Amino acid sequence: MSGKDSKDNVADLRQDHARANESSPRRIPHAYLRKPLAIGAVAIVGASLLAGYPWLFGTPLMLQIAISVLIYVPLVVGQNIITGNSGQLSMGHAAFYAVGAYCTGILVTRLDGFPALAAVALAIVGAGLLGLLIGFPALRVSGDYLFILTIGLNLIVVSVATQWEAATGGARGLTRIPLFSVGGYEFRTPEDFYYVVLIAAVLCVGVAAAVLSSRFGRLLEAARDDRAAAEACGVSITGMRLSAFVIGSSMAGLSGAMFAYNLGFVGPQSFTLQQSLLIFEMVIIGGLASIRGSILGAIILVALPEALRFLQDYRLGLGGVIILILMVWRPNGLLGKGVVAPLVKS
Amino acid sequence: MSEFGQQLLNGLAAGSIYALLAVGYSLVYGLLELINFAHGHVYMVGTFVVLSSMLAGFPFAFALVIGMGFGALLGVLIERVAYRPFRGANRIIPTVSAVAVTLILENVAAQVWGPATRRFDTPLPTSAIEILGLRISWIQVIVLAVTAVIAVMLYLMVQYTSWGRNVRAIRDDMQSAELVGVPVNRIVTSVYALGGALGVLAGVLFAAYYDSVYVSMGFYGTLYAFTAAVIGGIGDLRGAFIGGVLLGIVQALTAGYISSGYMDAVTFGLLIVFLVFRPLGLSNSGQVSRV
Repeated sequence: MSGKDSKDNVADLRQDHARANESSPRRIPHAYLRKPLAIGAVAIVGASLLAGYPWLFGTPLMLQIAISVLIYVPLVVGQNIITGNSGQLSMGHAAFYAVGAYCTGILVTRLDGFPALAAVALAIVGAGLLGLLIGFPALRVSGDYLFILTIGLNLIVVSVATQWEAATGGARGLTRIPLFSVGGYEFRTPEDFYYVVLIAAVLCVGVAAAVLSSRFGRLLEAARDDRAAAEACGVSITGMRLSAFVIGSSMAGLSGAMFAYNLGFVGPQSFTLQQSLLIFEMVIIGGLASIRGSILGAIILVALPEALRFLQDYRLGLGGVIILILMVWRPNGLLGKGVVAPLVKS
Repeated sequence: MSEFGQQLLNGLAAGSIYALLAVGYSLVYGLLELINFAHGHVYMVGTFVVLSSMLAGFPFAFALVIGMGFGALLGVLIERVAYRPFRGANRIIPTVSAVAVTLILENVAAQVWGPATRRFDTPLPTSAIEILGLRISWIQVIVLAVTAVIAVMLYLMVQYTSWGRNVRAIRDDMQSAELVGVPVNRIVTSVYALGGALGVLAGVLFAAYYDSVYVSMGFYGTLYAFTAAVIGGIGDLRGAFIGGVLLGIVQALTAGYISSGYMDAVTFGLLIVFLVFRPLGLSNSGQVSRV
């Protein structure tokens, strides 16, 4: 990650640009027609597959797998914004997940008839606030120190959730969380709830795509790629790193709320360090700084062990083996962006 | 007052074990500026190997040697597979590959030895003696004695042997050391082997002290020892011992006067405070950079 390397990177980028410009006159007419058509076709097929999933693969197991994957999507996308796009090695995502789940759980079990959408919104805000809180110390440490710091945060949250019985129900957790409902309609069946998590995941992916493709998204990656150069251009490193933390953690809050409604129960055992490791694995395997990669990572680590039942017990370790191979081979993950990779450049 | 003294003593004994573990980190960190995240898992697996050897009928001393040998081998293997290919790469890569190794070890250990806590019976004496109104168990005496011996031994090895001179040369400047003929790879391998063996020794003391061994002691070991190393100033052997003992005492006082349930929260709170406000630790030797 030395200055020289990043200069090489810049030079490469310029050459790429030059090449693209040279050949663009010939390619544009086709691209104009072909690309939107292809994207449109894929989008329509994808959307109808997702919408029709309960009818197409409606077994209870397949439905639960899909719900699990969709609950993980905001978590992994959020972790990827922190780690992939902003380049911060955070390892305690389950802490934010827990805050989201407990916010929802406490609100809806303590206050009768608390509106579900408000509970979800407050879960997002609560997790985001913790992200803001931990973002400040995170500004002072980086690399593997941040890694350890966030592991510590995860363990503190689990420890508080287990000990503070009055609020969290302690080790037994919060039970009897009511069904998710909007305006009097209760989402009773898994088929119904599937659409809730689908909408949540799609909204989250949409927000992430919009944020990351905006000017802000590029500033975020600029701050990651070359701190000094970005700072010289007037980018606030502090602001970028802090906002990445807040965005990423609030997405985890959304997942937490969905988790609470899906299970009807919130207990500390769902938010251990192993959970953080799993989310981290999903990002690394799927691909850094890539939303598609995040989704792919979630699918691989949720659905694959489910499909290959005999591997269930080896999920964590199997992920470890995959990561070890990837680190040698494709350090940016399966769908990670190859151009900007100072995070894991050798 | 005597209760306070008792807590202090308990903390001292537990802290000595953390100190032994923290040494494993500081040795490697001092050498390569790399945090060996898999260290805690080496110590967990090695302790289980000792347990299995004892259950297979080997005498305790022999089982300990097997376990320490296993820890040394595992340390070397991990260095080969997960660290050496990425030496000189961005520091994030070895961190991620170390996480991968811990996941594999954790998973395998849970499958081989089960997720439940196992008892760890050793022939070490369990009785206690009373001195000045304080209950001191023999196991505490043994822990303190072993830690003291290891501390002195390590200091002498690093300061007065040719091996130690090589280690210090690599620590100061790896490339120059290689140029003047220091066998860098061999020395690094030996440090990982030593770290692994000492880790298993600490693990066995830990297991004997609490009469239990369990899979998640790998992660907790990593974090406690890392906290100890950070408090003392990471990369500094003396600091590792001081940090370990301080952490043990803080934990014992938390357990004694607040609640043992909040021990982890206090420990990691301390870790965060140190990382943020005093990343060089108490020793402040100025050796560490790039925090």
